[in-house]
Amino acid sequence: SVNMGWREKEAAKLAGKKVLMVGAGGIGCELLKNIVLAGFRDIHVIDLDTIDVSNLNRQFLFRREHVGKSKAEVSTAAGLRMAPDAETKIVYDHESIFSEKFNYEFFKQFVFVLNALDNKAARNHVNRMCMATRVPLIDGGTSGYYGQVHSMIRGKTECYECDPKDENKKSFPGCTIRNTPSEHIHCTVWSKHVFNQLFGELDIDDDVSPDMDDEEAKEKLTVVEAMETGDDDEAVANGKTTPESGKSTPEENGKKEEKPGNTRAMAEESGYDAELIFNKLFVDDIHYLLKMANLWKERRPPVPVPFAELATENVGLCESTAAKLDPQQRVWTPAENGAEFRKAVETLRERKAASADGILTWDKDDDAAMRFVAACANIRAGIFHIAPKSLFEIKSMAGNIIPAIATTNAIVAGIMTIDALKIVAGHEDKLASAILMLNPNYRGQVVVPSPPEKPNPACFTCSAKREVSLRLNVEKMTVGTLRDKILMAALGVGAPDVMEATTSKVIVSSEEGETDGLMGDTLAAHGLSMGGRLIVEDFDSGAEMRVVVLQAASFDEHSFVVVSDVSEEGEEQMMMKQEMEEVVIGKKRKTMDENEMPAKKARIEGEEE
Amino acid sequence: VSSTMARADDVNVANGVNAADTISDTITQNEAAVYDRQIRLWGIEAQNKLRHSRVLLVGLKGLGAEIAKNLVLCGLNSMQIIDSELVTEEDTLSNFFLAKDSVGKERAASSLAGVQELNPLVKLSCAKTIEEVDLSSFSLVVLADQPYNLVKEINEKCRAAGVRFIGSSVYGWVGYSFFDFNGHEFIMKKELPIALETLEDGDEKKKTEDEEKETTVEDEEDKWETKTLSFPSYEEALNVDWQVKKLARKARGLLPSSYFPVRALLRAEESSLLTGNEERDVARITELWVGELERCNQNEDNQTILPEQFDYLFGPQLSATCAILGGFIGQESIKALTGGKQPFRNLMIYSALDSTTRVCDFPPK
Repeated sequence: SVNMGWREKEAAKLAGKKVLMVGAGGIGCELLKNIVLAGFRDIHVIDLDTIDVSNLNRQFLFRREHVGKSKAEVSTAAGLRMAPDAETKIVYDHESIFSEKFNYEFFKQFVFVLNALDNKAARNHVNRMCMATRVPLIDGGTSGYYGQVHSMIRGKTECYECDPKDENKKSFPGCTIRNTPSEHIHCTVWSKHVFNQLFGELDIDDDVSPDMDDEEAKEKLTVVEAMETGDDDEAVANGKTTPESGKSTPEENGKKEEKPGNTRAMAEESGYDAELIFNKLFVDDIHYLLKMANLWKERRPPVPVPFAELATENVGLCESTAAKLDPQQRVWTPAENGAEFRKAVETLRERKAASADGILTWDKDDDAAMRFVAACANIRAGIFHIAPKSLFEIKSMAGNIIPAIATTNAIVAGIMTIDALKIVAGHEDKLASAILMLNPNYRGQVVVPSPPEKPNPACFTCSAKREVSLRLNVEKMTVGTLRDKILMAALGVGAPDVMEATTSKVIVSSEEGETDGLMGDTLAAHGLSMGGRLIVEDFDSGAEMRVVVLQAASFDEHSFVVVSDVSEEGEEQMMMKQEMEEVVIGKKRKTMDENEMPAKKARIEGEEE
Repeated sequence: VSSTMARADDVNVANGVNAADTISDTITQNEAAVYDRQIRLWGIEAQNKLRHSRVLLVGLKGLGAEIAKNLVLCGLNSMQIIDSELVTEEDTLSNFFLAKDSVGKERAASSLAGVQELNPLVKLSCAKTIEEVDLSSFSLVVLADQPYNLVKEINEKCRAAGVRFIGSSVYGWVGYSFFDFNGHEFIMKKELPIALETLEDGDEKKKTEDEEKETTVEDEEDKWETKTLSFPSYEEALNVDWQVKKLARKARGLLPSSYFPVRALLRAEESSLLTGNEERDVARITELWVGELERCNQNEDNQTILPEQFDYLFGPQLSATCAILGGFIGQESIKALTGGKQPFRNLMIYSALDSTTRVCDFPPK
C-alpha cells in the first residue's frame, strides 16, 4: 500500500482552510504550485495583470499563447491541473486588490494571506486589511538574486508598516537634472521629462530647460551682468572663467533674453521640427548653461553640438561581444543618436496629432518613446562628457526594470510555503524572517533567519493605540478632504468617526448623512489649530487612533504630511523642521523624481517594472 | 571574464557530436524578448553560454522536476533526462509535470511533454540508462534522488572527464545537494591587497596598472578575478574523519543538525538497509543517526532534528523542500555553466523541519 506517512498528519491541519494569494506573477506561479501540491484545497487567487512575453522566463505556468491573457485566470487553470485530486478548489479574480469587493468580510475568510506582489502600495493595502482583520500575512519579495520573506501576525510581530522604511525611489536634485548632470542616469531622467514636455500633458513649468535660478550659479550671475556692461577687469579679478562663447548666444545677439525659451512652445511653433527642437535642447540651452560660469569652475563645461555636426564614430568605444550577440546591446554613434532622435520625433508628432487629446504617455515598451529617450539621453551625455549607453541599458534605467529569474522566485516561494505550513500547524512562534543572500555567511547560512521584530507600539496600522501627527493647513483643508484623502485613503480607516478631542464635538460620522453638511467646512471652523487633537475611530474594525494637528500655514487645501512619531521631543523637532521647510518652499526648489510627485502629498510608493 | 567555454564543450565540438546543433551567432529577437529579465541580471554573454550548454539530468521525482523547470526556463541548448522508474501516486504530489493517469508509466517519458512546454527552444530527449550516454558530451551532469553508490561512481567518472557535477536528494522534508566543479573557471573575489611597503618594483608597475584600470572600470569590477577552482570529490566530502584532533573542536560549528539524518540516509543507501516499511525504516535511520553522531563526536542534546520527526524523512517529497533545494541547484548550475561568481562550496543541506539552509565546505580546511 502507498505510504503517505507525514502527509496524513499534515492533511488534517489543512482541512477546511481557505487561503488567499495576492499576485500571480513570478512568486505567485511558484507559490501556487507549492500550496496546491502541499494539499491546500481551497485557494483564491487575485491578480490584475495580463501576461507579457518577458514573464515567460520564470512565470512557468504561462505559455506563449497566453500572452495578453489574465495571469489570475491562466495560473488558476494550471493549478487545477496540478492538483492532487478533484477536491482542490481554486477560484480567481482578475481585479485590483484595492477593489471594494475585497473588504474586511472577504479577508476574514482566510487562514492566512500570501503576498506575491511587486509594489509597495498594494503591499501596504493588504497589510492594513490583514492587520485589521487579524489574519496572518506572509509576504515575499525578490529582486535579481536577492529575496526576503516576512510573516506578520497582528499583535505578535511587526507589520509591514511598523518600520517606516524610506525606500523612496531614487530622486535627484532638480539642478542636477537640468544643469549639471554627471551620470548617465541624470541624462535619462531628463530625457523622460523632455518626452513629457513635448508630447505629454501641457505644463507651463518647463522643467527641462536650464534652471537659471540655480543656487550654485547665483553669485556669479551678477559678474556676468557686470561683464556685459563692460567691466571686464572686474570679471577677471573675480576669477570668472569665460565660457566657450565663441558661438553667439541669443543674449549676445542683442535679444536680451534672460531665460531659455519654453520647450513646448518652441516645439509647437516649429511644427515639431526635429532639427529645430534638437538645436534648442542641445545648442541654445547649453549656451544658457555656460553663462552660469560658476557651475563650470570645477566641472568640465558642456560642449553644445549642432545637429549637423554629430560625429559618425564612437570615439574610444569598440563593438563589444555583447553587441555582436544582440543589436540592442550596441551603443549608437552620435550620428545614429541624431537619426534616432529625428525618426522618433517624427513618429511621435504624428501620433500626437492623431490622438484624441493630443497627449502621449511614456512607456518603456513603446518603441518610438523608448528610442526617443535613449537618443536624447546619449546626446546629452555626450555634451556633458559622459559615456553613452546602449538602448538595452537605458531601457533598464528609464523603465526601472528589476531583473528577475526563476530560481530566486522558486526559493522565496518555497520559504513562504514552509511558513504557511507552520501557521496551519499552530507553530506561529517558530516563524522567522528570512533573507536570501548571494553567498553563505560565516556560519554557512545562505538564507539568514531572524526572529520577527515586535510590533511598533506607535505604528499607525497595527498598534492598539495609534497616534499620528498630521501636518496640514487648518485654515484651508476641509473636513471632507480630511476624511477622504487622509483618514480613508492614506491611513486606511475604513469608516471614520471623528471627534474633536477637547469639546467631543463630532466632525465626521460613519453613519451616512449625519455629518454631510460639515464636509465643506475648514478644520479651523471646528476649533482646530496648532496642537489640536482629534479622536478617530474606525467603525469597521473598531480601531481607535489619536491625531495631533500641526498647523502649516504655507500648505494649500490638499497638502498634508503624515508623521508617525509623537514623542514630546518629537513634536518640538517637528515644529522646527516645519519652519525650515517653509523657508525652503519659498525658494521653489523642486525635486525631480520619477513620479514627479509633489513632496508634500501622501506617500504612496510603487516600484513596479 | 573569459568567454571561452569549458573543456567538455570543446571536446564535444571536436568529436563532431551534435554537429547538427549549430547555434546561431546572435541571440534571436524571440530569445531576447523571453530572456530579457534574466539577461538584465547576468548579461548577454552568460546567456549565450547557457544556450550552448548541454545538461544531463538523472532522476525526475519532485526534486528533478524542479531542477528541470529551472534549467529549461533559462534557455539551455539541450537537456537529456534519464528516469525509467515507474510513476507512483507519491510522485504525482511533487512532480508537477505528471498527469494523474501517468501512474505506472515511466517517469521521464511521462514528464517530457510538460517540460518541453516550458521552453520550446530547448532540445529535450530521454535515455534509458546512464550506461548508454557519453558523460563527457555534457556541460553539466545532475543526479537527483540517486543512491549514494551511484552518485559516488558518476562523480568519479565526471571528475576524470572534467565534467561539472551535482548530486542531490530530497527525503521527505529534508534534502542535500553536492557540488563538484573541479577544474572549472569562476569569478572570485580578489585576495586583499598587500600593504604598500612590501611591494617591490615589479609590483609597483602592477599597482599602477591596477590604478589605471580603476579609473576606467567601475569600482565593483576591480575586486574580482577569474580563477580555476578545485573541488573535493563526493567521497571525500562525505567521509571526513571528524575524530581527528584538529577537527574535534570545530566539528560542532561545522556540522549542522541536518547533516546527521541526511548522512544516516546515505549510509542506509550505501548498504541497502531500507525495507520500504516506514516504521522499520525510521528505526533503522534512528540507529544510523546515533552512529553518525558518535562518529563525529556530537551530542544528541544539541540536535534540532530528532528521531520523533524521522517519519518526515519518508513518504512523498515535500514540494516546498524540492522547490527550495531545486532553486539553489538551478542557481548554482547556471553559475557553473556561465563561469559566474563565487559558487557554493560544496555541500548544501536544507531542512524544512528546523528551517535551516546550510552550506558546508567539506572536507574542512
